[in-house]
Amino acid sequence: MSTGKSDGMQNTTLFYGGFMFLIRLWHYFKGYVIIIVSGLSVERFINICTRRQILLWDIERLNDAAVLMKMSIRGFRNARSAARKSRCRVRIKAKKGLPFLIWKYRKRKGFIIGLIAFAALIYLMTSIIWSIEITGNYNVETGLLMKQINEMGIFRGSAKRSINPKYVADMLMLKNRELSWAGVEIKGTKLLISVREGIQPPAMIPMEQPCDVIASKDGIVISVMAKNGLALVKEGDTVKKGQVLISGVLESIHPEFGSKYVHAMGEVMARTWYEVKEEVPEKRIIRIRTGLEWNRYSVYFLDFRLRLPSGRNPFALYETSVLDKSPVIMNRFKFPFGLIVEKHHELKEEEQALEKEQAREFAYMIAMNKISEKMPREAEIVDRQMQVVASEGREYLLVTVECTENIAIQQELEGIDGISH
Amino acid sequence: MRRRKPAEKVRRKEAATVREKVAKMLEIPEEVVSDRPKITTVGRKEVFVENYRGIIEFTNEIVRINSNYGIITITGKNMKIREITNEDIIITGDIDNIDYVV
Repeated sequence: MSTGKSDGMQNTTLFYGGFMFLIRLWHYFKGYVIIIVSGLSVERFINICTRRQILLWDIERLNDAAVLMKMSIRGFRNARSAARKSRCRVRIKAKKGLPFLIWKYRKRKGFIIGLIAFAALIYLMTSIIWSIEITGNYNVETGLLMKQINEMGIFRGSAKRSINPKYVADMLMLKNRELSWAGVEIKGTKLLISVREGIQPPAMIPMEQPCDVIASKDGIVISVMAKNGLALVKEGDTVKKGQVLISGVLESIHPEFGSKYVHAMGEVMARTWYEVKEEVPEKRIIRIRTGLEWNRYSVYFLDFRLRLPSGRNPFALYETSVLDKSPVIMNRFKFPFGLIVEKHHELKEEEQALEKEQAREFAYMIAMNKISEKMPREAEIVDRQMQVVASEGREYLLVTVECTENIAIQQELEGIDGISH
Repeated sequence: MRRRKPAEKVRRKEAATVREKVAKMLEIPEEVVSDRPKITTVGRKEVFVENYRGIIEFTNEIVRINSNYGIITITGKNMKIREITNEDIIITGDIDNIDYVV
């Protein structure tokens, strides 16, 4: 730009401050012309223009009869009559801005097609589900949920618009009794499905089927609440696994009337014990990273993965962390291709002698983990006991956990088809 | 500012007009309704004139701007109009002098 060297331009940013750049950008987008106005009364031309709301800027006197200025395209259309009125001659020196640029490139079809194709591609790529993530399921298999989702017509590559998150969530809830909640969310190009699993009700026996309530494990009965049937045990009784707690057979006091069979129901809370014997280790082996790393790179597109030649893994003992470096727009839109870096960290094993206290604590932790695997989730821990037992020169930790839980489960009565009345 | 009354044209007194009185009563900022020119300068590089009526002369050395209270004359070197709209005008350059000529 021939007028660019004006020093006033560079020094002055007070009145607009940071907006100056924005204003320039705005002018650029709207397009403007650099014009030379020549005549005896250029001032009159300027006045008429300003009165007609035509924005002028960077006005510079060239000589006695000519002034250089910038004017918006829209203003330029209206400026013709102003020029006539002020008897000035207006000559365009340069056309600047996006509209002119577009005009200039209008015939370059490939360029325009490319531009549109690029925009369309970006739009297309971001309006498609590229990954489906299922979280929160423990017992329900991910594969099963995925299959159900696929049956609803949702695959990787489905259009985001075609997915109704609420519908999908409802369908998942309907199809899986185990789920207590399902949430479906579209986050960028990812379909996030998070589920919660409720506590599983025991296998139901139909109401018209007579049954007993038996003990699911050994324990001492704390309370019996028979909703239907005849309670055979009472508080304080010790019961064995499989023992009938609430009977579904109601014997009549008059034997000639026979027995009545009912669908026994109830809750029997009992104290139960879980015991685990765990060896107290003298030492433990820990693995630590040596700090050496070796990376394997691969590129992928959808499920196709191509490993880039990167030599052989030099480590005998290592752990791997995988980094997915695929392009992500605005933290949301992930594309189905990218680079995967597998970082192999070399490990070395070290034996660590444990102090007695520490070793016991360690054994206790392992034991508690084992117990909590055995215990039903709804059982309530009442007491924990630890006992150190020595045998054959080794030390063992005996951990006993006392719980209260419902041990009632239903069992069908053999050989009876229905409730007799 | 000289206090001379030209014979051919009665200059408006710089007293509060009715508009301004009303504005003051309603606690509207005076600049909003006032027709008095407001001149702001920043260093010697920029002059910002609001409430002007039109430019009379514009060269690299002198800019004369008409206002309701006389002609504002700005002299200097390499002067340019950075922006001009209906209400305000921004002049940049090496400013020497800002003067009211009645």
